[in-house]
Amino acid sequence: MLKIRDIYGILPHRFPFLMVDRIVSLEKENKVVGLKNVTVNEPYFQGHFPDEPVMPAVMIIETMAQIGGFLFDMPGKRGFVISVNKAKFKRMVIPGDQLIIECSVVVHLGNKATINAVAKVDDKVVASAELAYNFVDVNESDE
Amino acid sequence: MNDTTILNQTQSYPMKMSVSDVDADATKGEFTANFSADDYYREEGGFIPPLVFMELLGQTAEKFYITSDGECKRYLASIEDFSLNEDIYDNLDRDFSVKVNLIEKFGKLYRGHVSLVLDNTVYCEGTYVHCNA
Repeated sequence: MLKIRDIYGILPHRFPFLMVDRIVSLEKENKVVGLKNVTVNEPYFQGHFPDEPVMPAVMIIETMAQIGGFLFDMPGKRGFVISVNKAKFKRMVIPGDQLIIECSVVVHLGNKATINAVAKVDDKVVASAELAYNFVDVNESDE
Repeated sequence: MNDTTILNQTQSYPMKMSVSDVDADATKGEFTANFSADDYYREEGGFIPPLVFMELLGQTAEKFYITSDGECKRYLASIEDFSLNEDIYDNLDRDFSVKVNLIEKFGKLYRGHVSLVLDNTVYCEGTYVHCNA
């Protein structure tokens, strides 16, 4: 299990875009399960929507992307999401929900990788998607 | 909350994307979008996460449906495909066109293709399905 201090050391993301609270289980190059506790203090809720907070679908995708990134050991490289396919949003995610996301590797060849991700709340699927990453050198990504 | 809850809300800061209406008819629309150095979602160093482009395309499609069909209640049901050309990060100081093409309506669902274009180059595109109830 990876707690938040471990996650700080691995992901470059910080507020307001660090979307992972804990990695529950991790088997590199195979499967990872992570969680995100959704609270009403998330900054995007003030605009989505002002009187009815609902987690934006793209933030669920971002959470999938960040958790899925733990699957790969790519020293000196940073992964960028370059495509998303078959994304389905079945239920709304609202403050108080705990988002559990399971990602599994579909293919990983060189600097390209594809994963399947399923997001659940209370054991019910709220969203699913297939994400593709491109890994680039950290120096290149900072240019 | 049950699954049929439909939103009658519109996005506001910080989830409101900067999109201006240019031209739209019943089946296609063209909008302009731009990015500012002080956009809230920019990370240190000015990097814009890919999800922002994904949200921009989705909101533009919604804006097109509202322009062509009038105010509606809607939510995003699926993104069938979405891709991003990383060269976009070299052009963020430019004004982009966002083109929406309605592919089909079936029942309460709208399926459309949206692309972010600059100088005839597509930097980002996707096929989105929205529900209007």
